Amino acid sequence: MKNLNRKIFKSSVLISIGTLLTRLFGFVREILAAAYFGGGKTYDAFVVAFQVPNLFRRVLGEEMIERAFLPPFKRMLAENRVGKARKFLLKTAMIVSISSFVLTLLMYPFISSIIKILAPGLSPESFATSVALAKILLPFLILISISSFAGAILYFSGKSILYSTAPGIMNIIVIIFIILYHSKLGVKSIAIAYLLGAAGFIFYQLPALIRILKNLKGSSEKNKTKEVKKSVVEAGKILFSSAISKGVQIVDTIVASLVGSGAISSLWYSFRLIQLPYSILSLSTSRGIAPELSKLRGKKDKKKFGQIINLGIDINLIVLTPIILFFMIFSKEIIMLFYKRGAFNQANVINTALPFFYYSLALLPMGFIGLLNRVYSALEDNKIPLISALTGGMINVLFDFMLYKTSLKQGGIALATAIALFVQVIILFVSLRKYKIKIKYMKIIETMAKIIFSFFFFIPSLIIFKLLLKGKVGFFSVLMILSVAFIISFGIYAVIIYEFWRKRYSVKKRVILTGGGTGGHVYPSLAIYNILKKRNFTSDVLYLGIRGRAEEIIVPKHKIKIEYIKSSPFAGGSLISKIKSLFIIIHGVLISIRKILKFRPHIIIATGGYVSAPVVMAGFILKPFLKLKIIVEEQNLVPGMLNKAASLLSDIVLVNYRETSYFIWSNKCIHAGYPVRKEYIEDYDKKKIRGQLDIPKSKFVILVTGGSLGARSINRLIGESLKELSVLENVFIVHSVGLADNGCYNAYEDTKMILKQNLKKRFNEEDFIGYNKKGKVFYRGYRFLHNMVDYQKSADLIISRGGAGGIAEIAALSKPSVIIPKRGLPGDHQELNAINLGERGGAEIIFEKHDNNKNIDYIDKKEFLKILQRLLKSKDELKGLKMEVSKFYKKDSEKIIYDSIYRCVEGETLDFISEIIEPEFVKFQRQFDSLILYLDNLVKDKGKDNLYYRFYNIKIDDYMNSKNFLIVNKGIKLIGSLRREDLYPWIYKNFDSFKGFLKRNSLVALKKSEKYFPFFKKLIKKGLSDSYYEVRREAIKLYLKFYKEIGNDRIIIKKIKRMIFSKTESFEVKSQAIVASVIFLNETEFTEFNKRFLYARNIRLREALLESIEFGLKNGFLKDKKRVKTFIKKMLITTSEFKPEFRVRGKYMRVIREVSKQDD
Amino acid sequence: MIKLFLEFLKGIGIDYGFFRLINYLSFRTIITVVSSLFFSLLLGHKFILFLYGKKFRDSSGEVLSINAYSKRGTPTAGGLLIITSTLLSLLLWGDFKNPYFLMLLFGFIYLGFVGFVDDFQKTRFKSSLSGLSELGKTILILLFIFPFTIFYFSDLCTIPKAIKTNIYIPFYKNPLINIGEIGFIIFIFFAMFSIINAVNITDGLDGLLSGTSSLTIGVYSILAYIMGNSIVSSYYLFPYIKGVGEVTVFGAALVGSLLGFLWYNSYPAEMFMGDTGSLAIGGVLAMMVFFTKQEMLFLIAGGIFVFEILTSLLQEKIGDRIGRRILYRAPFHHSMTHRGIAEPKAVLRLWIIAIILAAVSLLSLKVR
Repeated sequence: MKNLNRKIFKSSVLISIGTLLTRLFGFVREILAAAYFGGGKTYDAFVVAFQVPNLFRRVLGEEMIERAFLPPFKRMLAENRVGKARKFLLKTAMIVSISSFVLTLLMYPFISSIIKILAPGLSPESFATSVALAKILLPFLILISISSFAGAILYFSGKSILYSTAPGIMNIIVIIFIILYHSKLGVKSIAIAYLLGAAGFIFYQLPALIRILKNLKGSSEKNKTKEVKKSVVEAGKILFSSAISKGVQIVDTIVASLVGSGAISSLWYSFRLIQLPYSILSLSTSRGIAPELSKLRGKKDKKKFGQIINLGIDINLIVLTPIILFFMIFSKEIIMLFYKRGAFNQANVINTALPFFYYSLALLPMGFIGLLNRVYSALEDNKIPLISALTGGMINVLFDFMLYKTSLKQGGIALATAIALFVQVIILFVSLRKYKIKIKYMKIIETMAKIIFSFFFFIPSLIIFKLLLKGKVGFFSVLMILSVAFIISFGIYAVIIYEFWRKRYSVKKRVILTGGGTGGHVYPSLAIYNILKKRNFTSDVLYLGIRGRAEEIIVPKHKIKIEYIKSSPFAGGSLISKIKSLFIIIHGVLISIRKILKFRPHIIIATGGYVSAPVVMAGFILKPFLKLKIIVEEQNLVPGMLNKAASLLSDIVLVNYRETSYFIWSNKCIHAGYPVRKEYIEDYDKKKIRGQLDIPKSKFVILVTGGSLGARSINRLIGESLKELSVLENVFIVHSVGLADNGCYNAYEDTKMILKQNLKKRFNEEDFIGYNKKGKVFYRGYRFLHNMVDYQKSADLIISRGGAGGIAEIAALSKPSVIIPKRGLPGDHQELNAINLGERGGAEIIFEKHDNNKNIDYIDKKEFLKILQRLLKSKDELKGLKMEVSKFYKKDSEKIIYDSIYRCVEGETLDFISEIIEPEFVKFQRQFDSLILYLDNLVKDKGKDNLYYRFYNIKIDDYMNSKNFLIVNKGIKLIGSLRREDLYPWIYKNFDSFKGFLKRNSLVALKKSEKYFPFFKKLIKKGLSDSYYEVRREAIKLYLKFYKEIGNDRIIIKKIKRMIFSKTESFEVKSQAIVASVIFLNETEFTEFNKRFLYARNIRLREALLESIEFGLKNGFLKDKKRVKTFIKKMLITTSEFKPEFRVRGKYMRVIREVSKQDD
Repeated sequence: MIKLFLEFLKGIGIDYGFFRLINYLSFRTIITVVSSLFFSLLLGHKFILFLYGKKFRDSSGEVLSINAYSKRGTPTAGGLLIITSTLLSLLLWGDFKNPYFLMLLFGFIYLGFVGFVDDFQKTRFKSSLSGLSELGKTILILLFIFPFTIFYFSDLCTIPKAIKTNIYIPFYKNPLINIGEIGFIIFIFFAMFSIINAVNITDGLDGLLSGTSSLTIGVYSILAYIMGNSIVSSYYLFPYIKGVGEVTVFGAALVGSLLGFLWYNSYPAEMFMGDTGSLAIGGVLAMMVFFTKQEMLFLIAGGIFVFEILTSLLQEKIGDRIGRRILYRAPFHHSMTHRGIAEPKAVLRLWIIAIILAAVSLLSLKVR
């Protein structure tokens, strides 16, 4: 088998060379023809006449043999059934020769009409010439079909040189003949030349052929007609596809004949010229790609297929695009150079240059189609190429008609061909999906970008030469300039492309880390780097950060090189500051591009923060040129604006929380968990570490930290409660104050001052602030803790912010903690996240409050001390916190991170998060009513002792103080669902100043109250006479809830009665009034009163009547059931509403629920 | 395209016998309806699968949760089906040389694209609130009205110059008023923007828009047929507008594919058209209104749309400011369901109203 492959490979190379030579000779033939017969009417006539024998050439010629005859023939020989093969050969030879003969004979009487159809626009004289030429040329069909049949046999028998050079022989004969006889015979000479050439073709092959036939002797077998049948089917397919291509050719000719004289031959000449580079290309691909593809025949290695296709596309793009440009820019010069001599004049040149210009465009799709057709034949699919050819043909015809009348003339026909070929390519490409062959489109774009980049040098040089050519008409001057142009431009192009393609191969990857601003962004990137480094994945590393930020201090400590760029936060602020920061970011991008180009990284790891945005953008811009991957890590639940945008540019997004994928714009999220540094995972000896840090070993150590920058509210809380803390026994406090030093807050100084105010005695002020108690230290406040890990390890209790990093570290170390989430972040996500942790018993939570007067956030000191004291007392509680928090640590996060980065770099598939989980708080934010509903149920079931209640209790103040009535509205809703009885009077006081919605919601809120307050009655009265119908409705509802306490109030009853009678009243109010009527009317009155509603047109009123009766029966207002029965029996029970139940969906949901249960 | 081809054949002297029929507008109209209906029925299920697979799922309300009582997660952006089947049928039967036809085609595709971007954002960014912003949508729609205005006043638009800036009212022969070029430009911007938004907003119940809009488009197609025919138009005392008959073919294609879409969109919907469909339909209607010079008739023929946008504006612009509900729910069709009329019933009632309105507007042909 191997031998055979090599043979095929070798022969294919020889064939390509042979074809190239043949084409060259063919080209010389055309040059001569142009010189002798020009590009006008005469040659038009010949081209049309030559179409006649060629009409059926494909059916009986090469392709027929190659596809219909050779495969079974080969098989027979391979199975050693020589006799049968011989018989088959002879039979086919007979069929071919007889049918071609018959066809030729049949065509003779119809020659003139055939030519009329082929070229309706031909002038009468050309028509006559054409008919005469066609009569001579017709036998060409017989000769060529026999000779190509012979050629195929030769090819198969290993005489591939003979096979591929035979057409060349034909061309040589034609050339010699027309040189000798063109002056005597005129245009007829070329027709006769072709006939002679075809004959020569046969004779050239004859000796070898006879030898082969002799060798094929063997025992005769019974012949099954199966093979023949199969080849007949194949022939049918070929007939069909050739009909398509011929059809297109014919239509091209028809349309061209309509354009005017010379159009047909101009198309002919230019097309010949175009084929020259194409055959060069087919040589190169046949060496590189065809053998690879033939190896894959019948196999299902989709990856390999994809690789080969990518390679082929690259080759085509790189070789063809500059040629196309060259051809288009120098179209006239090239035509002139090749054809302009003898009868071929300047007008012919211009005429021919026009289609040549557009045909150049077709080169690219031609190359692609050649490649893809090979792919399809390797896939053993003939259907799709056929379909694409058919569609292409149709489009070609369509555009022919659309374009030929425009100023493009015959150029339009060439353009139509190019368009059709492009469409064919698209169809072939798209259909590849069927086979699930993955083509790397990014790679194609990369290649294109490289080519475009090199065009920046290529095109200018072409333009310079074009300018040089201006006014030059002499053959040699043009030849010289053109060839110099060719060599120089292509030289430049080749150098640049080569430079790009040189692979800088290294096993270890260079990494750029970025992200920062706060330690929370810096540490994860270091952690990821450590993960990669541990597995020997990285070589060099560079950190890009901003000067004066946390990274400037942290990164050098880890012995990583850091360089600085510029960036600025984007969200918030006025328009001017936004524009300003945009400029800074752009500046940052430029700096980053420079740094990245210098460093040439393989991977960029961005961990968020505004620092990373310009680096990611720069990386994205450089992606086509450097082979790099961008990885974005998002540790927060809610990503920042810039990170959301950066996700679109990145290859993967590693997220800490599953829910984060909801916010990320790209669909490439991987749930990786938080990459804590390796120090957190190691085992440790608490006592030893305490010794190193000079912390008393037996004391209860509390670590207070507000992140690397520090938190004002936490710092002040500690400062203010230092006195109380000093009373606590056996406690040692380590406080990381933070680096914050901006205009409004200097953490260290401010804390020092507050500490001073509260407790005078101090013992140290230089490195840290220290306080003593009874001669022993109990408090130390540091500006920044470099070895935070050790302090965390040594702590018994950690007081910290609710950031993702902090919580992950606490979880990894499994420490009890008090979490103080930051207030006022988008969607209150830190608080809600902390609630999630706290509800499951992972930590104690304290919420920040807002002081409106000072406009700062603060923490309730009493609450804090109470919790602290409780925790100090109970060891069980601490243990419980420890247990629960460790469940929040995702253990395999390191492995996931490494795996996904590795796979991403290697181009393997990744498992992205597919389902989208909407975080709870988003739901609450998006639909405030769903929060209200949730709180309603929560307060009802669990009472007021839960985190949600505590949190929203604080939140209410914000809402109520807002100036926007829609936000106050939210506050009122919260008052209701949290049952804030202390705020009910506030509602009553402000009720009159409320707008409609607020009044309505106030009443709804009060309805939730369990207790009755006397002012409810007044509110109901106010509500009942309100001008807004929803308020009236709610007022009645409130009355319905507290009717017992209110008793028989005349005014209320009167108002409600009036509502029932009113004709203009809204049905919503009316229906509530009907329900309420059962309370104050006795049974007779009730039935009399509400009789009208038995037949009410509005269904809601009838519904209300039923509701009212139900209510009455339940609460003992209606006792005479018989009477009610007779009353209700009269009711109209037609209905216009129903509640749909989509049962399939319901079942689906149940099944899903069941399945997800098993998952856990 | 077939027409182009046959014209070409005629040009070179080949008589095409039976296919002469294609020269008759009425024949092309009918066959267009049939073929676009056929295409949309044929492709319907494939589109549902395609959209569902590409995660074009309705995301209003609870995100991506499925329950037995709502239709969340139903494939949206089904307007792609409408656009595809309309285009396929037009490709066969349309006259690609007609300027009105090309303008309609451009607007149809462009606005469909705008809607698609909106739908894409809604579904991709996982919330119905995160589509195109109102401003963005407005700008993109205005970007369409601008070239339309240029087209309208150019020579390509064959409406006689004298009547271009006239405003006609239904049931009255003569033009009411000539408001001049500047006035008319303002009128075009206002009217088109309102019509497009009105149609967009009506898309709220299963089958509502696909049913009502096909009626309105039908009415305008008939008008276009009359005006594009010199004999019929003089009989009905309408101005003759050369070439406007092709609008009928376009309308017919759209009606056909809308009916095919309705096949799947009727209650309970298997797919929604999304903004992709509603904007494209709105655009076509808005253009038809101007091409037939019956701008004011839209108040009757498109009465439903007008009413819907009015109710919606009333609530949005006034109600939300003063802090109360003016209607029970807005737009109007939600008010109907709120009153206790089930969705299919509400849709059918609105259809009936639309039929009556269509009949009344056709009455304006003769009663003038």
